[in-house]
Amino acid sequence: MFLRFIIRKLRFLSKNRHSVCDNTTESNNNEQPHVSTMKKQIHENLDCLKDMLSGSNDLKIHPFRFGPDPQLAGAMVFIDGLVDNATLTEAILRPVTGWQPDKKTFPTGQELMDVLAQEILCSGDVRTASSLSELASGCLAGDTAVLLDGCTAGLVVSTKGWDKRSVSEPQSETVVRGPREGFTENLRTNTAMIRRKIKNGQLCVTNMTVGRKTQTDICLIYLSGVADPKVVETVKYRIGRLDVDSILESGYIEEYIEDAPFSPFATVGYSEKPDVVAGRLLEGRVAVVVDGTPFVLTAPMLFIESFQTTEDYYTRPLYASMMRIIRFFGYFITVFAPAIFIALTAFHQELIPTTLLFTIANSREGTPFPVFLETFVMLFAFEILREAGIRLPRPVGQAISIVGALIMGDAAVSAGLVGAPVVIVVAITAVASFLVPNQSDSASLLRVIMMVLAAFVGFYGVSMGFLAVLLHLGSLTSFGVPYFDGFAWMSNLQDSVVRMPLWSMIRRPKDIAHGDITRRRFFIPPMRPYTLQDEDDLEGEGEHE
Amino acid sequence: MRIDKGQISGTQFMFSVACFIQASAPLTTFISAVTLQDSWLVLLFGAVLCLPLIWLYRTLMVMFPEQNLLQILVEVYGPVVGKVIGVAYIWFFFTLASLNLTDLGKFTKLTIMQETPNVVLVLMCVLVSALAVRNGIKLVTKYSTLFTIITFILLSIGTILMLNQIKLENFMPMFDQPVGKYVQGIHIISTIPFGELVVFLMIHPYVKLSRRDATKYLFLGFGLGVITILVILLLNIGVLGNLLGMFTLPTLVTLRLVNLGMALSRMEILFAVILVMLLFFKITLLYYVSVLATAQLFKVKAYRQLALAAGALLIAYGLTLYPSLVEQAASAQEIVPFLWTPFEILIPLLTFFIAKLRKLPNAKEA
Repeated sequence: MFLRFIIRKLRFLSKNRHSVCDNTTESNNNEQPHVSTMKKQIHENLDCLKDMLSGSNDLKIHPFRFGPDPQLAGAMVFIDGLVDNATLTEAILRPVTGWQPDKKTFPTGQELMDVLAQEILCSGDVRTASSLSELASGCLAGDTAVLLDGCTAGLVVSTKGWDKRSVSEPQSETVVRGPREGFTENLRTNTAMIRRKIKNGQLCVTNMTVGRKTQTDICLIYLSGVADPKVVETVKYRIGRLDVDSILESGYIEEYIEDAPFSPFATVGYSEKPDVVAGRLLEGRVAVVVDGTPFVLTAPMLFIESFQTTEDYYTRPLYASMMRIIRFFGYFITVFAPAIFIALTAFHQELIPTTLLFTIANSREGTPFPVFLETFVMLFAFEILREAGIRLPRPVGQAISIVGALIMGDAAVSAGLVGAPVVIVVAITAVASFLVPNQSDSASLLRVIMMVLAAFVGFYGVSMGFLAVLLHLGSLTSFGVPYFDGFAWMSNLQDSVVRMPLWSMIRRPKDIAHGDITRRRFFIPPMRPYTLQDEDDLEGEGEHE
Repeated sequence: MRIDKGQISGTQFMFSVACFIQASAPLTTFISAVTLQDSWLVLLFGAVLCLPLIWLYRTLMVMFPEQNLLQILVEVYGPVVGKVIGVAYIWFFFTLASLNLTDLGKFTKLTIMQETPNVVLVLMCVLVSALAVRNGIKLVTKYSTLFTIITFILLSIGTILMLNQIKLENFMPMFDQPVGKYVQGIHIISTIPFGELVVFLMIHPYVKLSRRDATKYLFLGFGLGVITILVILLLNIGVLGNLLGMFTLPTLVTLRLVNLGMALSRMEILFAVILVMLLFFKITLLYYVSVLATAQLFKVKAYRQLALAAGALLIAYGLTLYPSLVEQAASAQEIVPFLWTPFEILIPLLTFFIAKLRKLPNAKEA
């Protein structure tokens, strides 16, 4: 009840904040209504443009004259650094200055604009803009605005070209087998990489722009006919509804569109690799590519998805299944190992085999703190080390982890501050948390809750906590798809706890894909050796006769 | 009036029934204390005798596919009498939930958490149950499949490990007790685990079932539940024999005897897992049903708001019901079966006949 009250208060506050924002935007609009209309005089237009871009110094204005005995005046406007100089010269400057009309009379005004756009400029992407704000936003996106004297419209020519990182192996998802390319920060490169994986007309790419200040480009990608139209609509609606200041990373979008913002479990997936995203698209999911980040969002996300890696599908099914089961155990260990250890040593000593009990008791003899505190402090120290290892420069980071892990752990045990079993449990917990990197944040949260439960109510608390987590998982949905699907109840079991051979997965996941749900026309078992096949065929023929 | 908009599938319904009956399996004392080594026979007789009862429930389900028990009562007996009986049923569900809650608390206290106050154990269970109840019927029944399968797996592990300790002579003096004992045993077995299935008359509108499927799933679930109890009883009798009557938790003692080399011992943890899991399911279902029934009686749309308040009442009621485990066991053997009989057998039977006489569901269609 109290929580509900707080949430209602928060909602009320956020509503207020929204209304404040609306006021400011309105006042902004009121201040500059004159800007968008264009004048005939080129100087006035240029001044206005300069004004709109706050007189920034990286705005370059290049006036030029062209036509027969240069009597036509024009100007190119672009932002230095966002345009490709070679394209600029080849597509605009050279054709325009070299243009000689064959007729005596040459067009003026709007006609000239059309001639320029259709005949002279050597660019594949030229559009006419009738307002200055359009021109300004074109400039800000890296295009070049071309203005003509005596004309109340301008052209926006695509000359985008800025320094970008080349395609390289992603740091967050390394593979032994499989493609090593990863997404980059450039939106078009990313969409092209996905298209190169799925060369099909059904692959639908929809552009959107979000963020009042950042004007971030976003691409929605899905396979029409495979993806659930309801999910596509929901994603579109949730993104389109956004009225936010800035989108700097796909994490912003994720937070705004996810189903359960206060759950420890993420209900929107992400990946840095084109083959992962392509695989999810083929299962009927929707991908959201955000400009400026190599992390592509995918929705809907299922809990099981965190345990599926691409390598599962590139290696043979038996081994892949084993690895997947190990991953489940890893997740279980990383959430429950410290809690179970605490419950065993503090409450249920009778469940520990006697020899082991003596060993643990021996090692805990000189330690000053209760086992809960010991485990908690050690895990806390581990989190510190991990965070330090990520943030520090790489060479220093390694040194820190060696000092932290080896020396501190060893010293703590030999000084009698913590028992050796605690160190072992913490080490296993820490290592296991890396098996399922997607769920490591939920794991570290749940781990602490389970430890507290274990410290107070032992195994009973842990089992109640486990049931609560199960119930919570069961109640979650991601864009209308039950989050815990393929796990506890019968649905899509071919690709859950074990991965069945590819040729036996005939259908796409039932709850995600709609429409075209067959992956393969029919059940294709692998080819048998030729000799056996021939014999069978011969026998079959014999029976026929 | 449908308060909860959830829908459950036929298999979920089946496993819910199975899980509900299984939940009584770990606590077999209520019957094995009465009829000792013949308990398994009594169980089989009881199950066969209960088939008509289940058929009665099934008929009511088929007759009123869109209405739950309270609505059926109002329809059959008229608004006033129907509501009075409805209140009685709410009390029945509520008491059942409380009893199971105390069971869980007390047995947990007895087996693994000797020094923890009972309130803490019960409170935790109610809080987690409330989480499920607030999310509706779909979540409550969702895990029944998983629980049933886990129970079967753990049970078969236990059985295989115990095979060498079963002595056939433990079953031996058959039909050695006075007839009254058998009648009492059958009465207990049919009211305590089986008759409690009347609860499912409250949730059957959420299941989309045809006439044939209703029969199939209900009886399959019933069968699965009976098999579980039978296996546990056979195991207990075969291993413990004459000592059976001495323990409050014979299954726990049985599994404690597992000792396979140095590798496998202390298997009673399996029992604890099964006990907590199944009782949790049963409590959640009963808790949900009583909350739903209360909300329906008072025509409250937002049954979610009632969940925590009802939970608090459950705890208070459960803690004051019986002063001790011994008294509870005695009441389960001698008083409760008679108390439950009208709710589980007489009223449904009466409702069925009156409905038939008044040609109720047909009259509505015409």
